[in-house]
Amino acid sequence: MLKMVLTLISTLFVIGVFGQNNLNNATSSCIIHKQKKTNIEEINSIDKFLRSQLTLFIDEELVKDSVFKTRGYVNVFFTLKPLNNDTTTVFIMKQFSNFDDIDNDKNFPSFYMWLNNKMILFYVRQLDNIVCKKLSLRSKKKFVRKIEPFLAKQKRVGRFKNFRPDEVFQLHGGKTIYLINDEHLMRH
Amino acid sequence: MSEYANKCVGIQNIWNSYTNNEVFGYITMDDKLIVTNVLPFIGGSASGLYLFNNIYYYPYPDSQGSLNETYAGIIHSAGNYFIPIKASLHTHTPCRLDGTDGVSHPVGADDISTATRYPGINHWVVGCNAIAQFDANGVFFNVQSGSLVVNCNKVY
Repeated sequence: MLKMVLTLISTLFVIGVFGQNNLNNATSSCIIHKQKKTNIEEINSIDKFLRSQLTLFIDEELVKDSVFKTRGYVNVFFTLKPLNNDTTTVFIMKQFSNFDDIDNDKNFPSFYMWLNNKMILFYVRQLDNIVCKKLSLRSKKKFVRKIEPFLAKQKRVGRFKNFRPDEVFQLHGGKTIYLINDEHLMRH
Repeated sequence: MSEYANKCVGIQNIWNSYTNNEVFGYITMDDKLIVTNVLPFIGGSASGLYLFNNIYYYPYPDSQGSLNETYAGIIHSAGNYFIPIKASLHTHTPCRLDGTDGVSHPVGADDISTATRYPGINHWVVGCNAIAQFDANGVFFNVQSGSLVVNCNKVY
C-alpha cells in the first residue's frame, strides 16, 4: 500500500500537479477534493530496512528518554520521490502530542502499525497537500482509542475538559533515512 | 518560562543570548513574548498548547511561580493559568554555522508537524538576518530579510 501511495505521488509530481507555483502558494491546502472519506489503515508489513531502523530508533529513545518509556509514539514522514529518482527520504521522530482536535484530519496518519509495543504513524505530507485528506470519523475515533494509553493523561481542570497538564511535544530531533532501491543509507 | 512585555526585546534577546540552542516560545494575543523552552541543536520536548473555544492557550501551572506580566484574556482555573496565544516562534540557530539564512531550505517534517498540529495560529522562525512564517504546506513564506532590530516588529 505504501509503495502504491509513493508511486501516485511520483506520478503527480511528473505531470506537474505539485509544481513550483503550488509550492510557493502558502495559502493553498490541497488540490483534489474527494467525495468519499477514507479510513486510517493499520498495516503490518513495511520495508525490511525501515523496520530494522525503526526498531533501533525505539530502542535508542527508550534508553535516552524516560518519558518515552511510558508514553509517546513514532512518526514516520515520507518525502516526495520524483519518478527519475530512486531515493525515498524518510524522517523518523518520536512524538507525544494528542489527537483531541478530531476535525484536524491532516494531523492524523494515513497508516499505522505496531512495533515493540509502540505505535508507528505514517504520513505522506505531499499527498495530503494534493489530495484533501478526508478521514472517516469512525476510523479517527478508533485510532484515538488505540493511541490514548500512550498519551498524557486527561484531567478536568475547572472549565477545561480533557486538559492534559503533563503533555509536551517533540520539537526537532529525529533521524533521516534514505531508501535507495536495495541500498540504504542513513544520516543522523 | 521567561516573559517579555516587549516582544522585540525578547526576540532579540533569545537570538543574541542562545547561540548554541534553539529557543521556542509563543506570541500572546496582546503581543507579548513568552519563552517556554531552550533546547539543544538536536531538539527536545516543548510545552504544548490547549485548544478551547477556538483559542489556543499556553497552560502555566501556579506551582511554577507567579507571572510577571498581565495577559489579555488570561484564565486562571484550578491551579493553572491559561495564556491566550496567537503565534509560535522558534530560532533556527544552525544557520550561524551553515551560512544560510535559516529560512530558505524546505521546511522540515518536524516543523510541518507542529504547524499541522496547531493550524489556528501563525508559526515563525527566526533565522540569520531573516525571519519567515511557515505552515502545514511545508514552505516558508512572508520572508523578511534584514536586521532583527527592525524585523522583530513584523512577528505577529
